[in-house]
Amino acid sequence: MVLLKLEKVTKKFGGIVAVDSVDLQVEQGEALGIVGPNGSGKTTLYNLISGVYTPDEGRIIFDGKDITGMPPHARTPLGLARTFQIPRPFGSATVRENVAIGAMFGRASMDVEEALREADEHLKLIGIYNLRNKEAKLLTPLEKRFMELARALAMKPKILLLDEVMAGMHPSDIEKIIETLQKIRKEEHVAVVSMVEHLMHAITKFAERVVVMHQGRKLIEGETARVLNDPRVIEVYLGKRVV
Amino acid sequence: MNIRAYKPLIPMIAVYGVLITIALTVDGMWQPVAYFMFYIALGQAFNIFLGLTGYVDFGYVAFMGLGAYGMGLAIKNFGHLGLIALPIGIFLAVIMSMLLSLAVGAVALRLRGAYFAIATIGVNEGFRYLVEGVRLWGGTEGMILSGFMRKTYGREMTNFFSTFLSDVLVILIAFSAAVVTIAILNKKMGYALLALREDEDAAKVMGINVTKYKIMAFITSAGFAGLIGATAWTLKLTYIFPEDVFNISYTVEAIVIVMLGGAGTLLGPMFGGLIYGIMKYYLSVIFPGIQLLILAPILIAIVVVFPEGLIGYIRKKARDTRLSEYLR
Amino acid sequence: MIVSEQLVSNLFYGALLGSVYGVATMGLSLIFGVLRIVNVGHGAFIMLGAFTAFWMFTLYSVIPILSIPIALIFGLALGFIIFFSTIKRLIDAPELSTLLATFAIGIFIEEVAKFVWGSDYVGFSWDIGTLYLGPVTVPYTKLLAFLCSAIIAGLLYVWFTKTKLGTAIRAVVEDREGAMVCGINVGRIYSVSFAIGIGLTVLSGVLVTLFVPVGINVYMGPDYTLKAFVIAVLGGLGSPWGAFVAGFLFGLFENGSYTLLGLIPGVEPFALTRFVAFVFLLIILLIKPTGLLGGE
Ligand SMILES: Nc1ncnc2c1ncn2[C@@H]1O[C@H](COP(=O)(O)OP(=O)(O)OP(=O)(O)O)[C@@H](O)[C@H]1O
Ligand SMILES: [Mg+2]
Repeated sequence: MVLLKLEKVTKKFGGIVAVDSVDLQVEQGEALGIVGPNGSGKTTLYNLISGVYTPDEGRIIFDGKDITGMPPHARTPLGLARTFQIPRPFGSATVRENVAIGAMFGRASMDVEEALREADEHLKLIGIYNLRNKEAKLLTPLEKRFMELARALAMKPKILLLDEVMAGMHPSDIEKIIETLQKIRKEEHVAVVSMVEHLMHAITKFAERVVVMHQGRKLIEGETARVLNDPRVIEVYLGKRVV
Repeated sequence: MNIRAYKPLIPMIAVYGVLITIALTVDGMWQPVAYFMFYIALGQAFNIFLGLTGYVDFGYVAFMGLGAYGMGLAIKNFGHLGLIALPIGIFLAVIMSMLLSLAVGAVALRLRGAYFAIATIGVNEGFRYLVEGVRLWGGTEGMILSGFMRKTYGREMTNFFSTFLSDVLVILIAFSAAVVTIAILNKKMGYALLALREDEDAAKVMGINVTKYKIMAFITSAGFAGLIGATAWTLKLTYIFPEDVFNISYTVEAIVIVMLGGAGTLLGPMFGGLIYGIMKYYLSVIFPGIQLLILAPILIAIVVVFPEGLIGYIRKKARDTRLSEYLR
Repeated sequence: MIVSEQLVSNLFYGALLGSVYGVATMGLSLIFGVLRIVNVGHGAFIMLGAFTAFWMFTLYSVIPILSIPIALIFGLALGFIIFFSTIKRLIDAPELSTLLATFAIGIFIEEVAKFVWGSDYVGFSWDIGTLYLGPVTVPYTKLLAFLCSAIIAGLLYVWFTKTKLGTAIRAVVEDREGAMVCGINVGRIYSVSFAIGIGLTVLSGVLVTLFVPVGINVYMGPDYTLKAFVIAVLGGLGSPWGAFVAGFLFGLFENGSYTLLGLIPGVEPFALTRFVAFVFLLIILLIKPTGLLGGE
């Protein structure tokens, strides 16, 4: 079943066409990787899906609903959750409160007590339960990334949009996170879309399908191993061999 | 409802108890305590918007002003019906200030930061000059109610209004504002406001309808401001002048109190209001005419070295101790 | 017709005063543009300039035109002192802090000024004749104020566009991070811009005295702060040039509207003019917060 569908979506910033007539489909429970060099429009794509920007052209359909003009807060409870490339914690709130906020508002209805309990669950799941009473602004950049992931998961989304969430993490942590993501995919049929700038090892391990972005356009898409060895992709990455 | 989450009201009730005891037992202390309570109420009411949302409303005093006029109009028009004019006044004060805040909020809350602050100054000044310009409600001359009130209610009763009843009402308003604050803090709304105060765009993406919560906080805060204007000004002073009731310095005093005690906390406005009230009162007794000269540098110092305020600071120190349950 | 003559005369006067408003707002806009700080104590600096002119004139018989450089230097020095003692620590602080700090600084200045000059209204009169132009009569001093405003704005423009420091300041206004990447010492730009902003504002106080000969008072500031807010928003917050043009327009509007509203019976034209100004302010903020004269 198609969960998310972008139809000829375009977004311009002044003269720059950040996202240029992109078509994209994400299936329920799918693991999709989106790669592309700096400035290729990946983050903008997320901003369009989550409603931070509205597209200049095109439509966005989620779970059968046209969400193109919807404000972000109305999209979220439909089952959308994302992380930010540069983490955006609610600084003076504790880690636990941050995650609880995700649970509280990311879903249709959940009261405070329940949300706080949910938060604890997800903190344990991601392995940062020991940080729960710390003010979020005091976390290291890496810890903030973990917290964002916990917060997004606590929203119990149908689709999870990760923006460079694993960059800079220790391989063993990456392993663990991928395992967690695969688990929620299997058990809860959550589609996971992950973006990375570099064609990293993680994406090959994790994604079933990869979309390569280049200068705002979709360069190529398909099965992971095949795409990553496509000469055009290698060219985009300046001849860097991958995998 | 989770009773334990309301524990921070205990220290508050204790402080109120001490203050009221002093006011009732020590000769000549009723009026000073009433003076402190005015500032506590002001801080407590403004904190619901300023502290919880982080938006700076420089025109906050307009809601107090409108409340003052609401009570004034009620006494003028319904005074002949007897004491019923007072509840009508309270009602009018709340309704008028809330309606204005709804109108202002619906348009101005789309602006952020400095733009919002300037827009709200515009609302306040605009309102004041409208009253003066078209000679609404007495225009520049304002409303002087003392003669009318003495004629209608008698000298005794009028005195009772202005030296006792109004003060008691202000205490009740301050306390109600505090109860509302902690209720908000413990509810989803409190978490929504916390999130939007920290990062409004991220809050939206988390599924928070930021506009809704900002407006709710704004209206609630404005309603309390209207009540304070109706009681601490109209009922107590028995006159209303537009240049007084729209005077931006009250907004600033409210900001100072909230900052001093700790923005967004429950107990902050009480301690902030108390400290500020005491300083202002006694400085004006000891150093008449130069209280502002002393207050200004203190203020700057607070902002520069102590931005989280008294309660904010103590809370941080007391985190993970048993005391923290009583601090909010 | 009497009304139209009065209108012409008032508009002319408004244009002259408007140029002074322009200079009096450029500092506010510059500081906002560079530091993203709204100086709520703005008017207090105008007051300081007014008293500088007053003192120089009454104590040393220095004509206001010659007080301009003195006020500028005084303002620059004050700007640096305030920047390094407080503002520097508040650059990235939340609005609440900067709004409050600048407000407190304004109060502090007023209260210190009260010690020096008392709280009475004072004034002085500098008379160098009057120009008669049909229905319009203007004292030469006001024309001179206009001329000075235009020259100051012009000099500033040249300085901003032709010097290295000026260009760097514009770069920071455009894009803080970008400027930092380009190797501009942003910290220095902050201090210099703040000082220039305050210098300009104190200087404008001298020009103001040529319009309000007996209106000099330690509490005259807030009124100008509010006007400056309206003008700054009209010109696009953060744009000194926009502010200058907007000041000019505001002067025209204020005096034109005063004359016309005066024709309506039963209203206070003075208060109503301000009401209209604030309504404008709100409309602009809502429709185009970057200012009517500002770009994107
Ligand atoms: N708010 C904005 N205003 C102007 N230009 C923008 C904005 N957001 C993105 N852009 C531009 O759009 C293009 C795509 O940016 P985007 O951040 O989507 O790329 P990206 O693929 O996420 O890159 P990175 O790997 O650096 O994160 C870039 O040229 C960027 O400068
Ligand atoms: Mg990106």
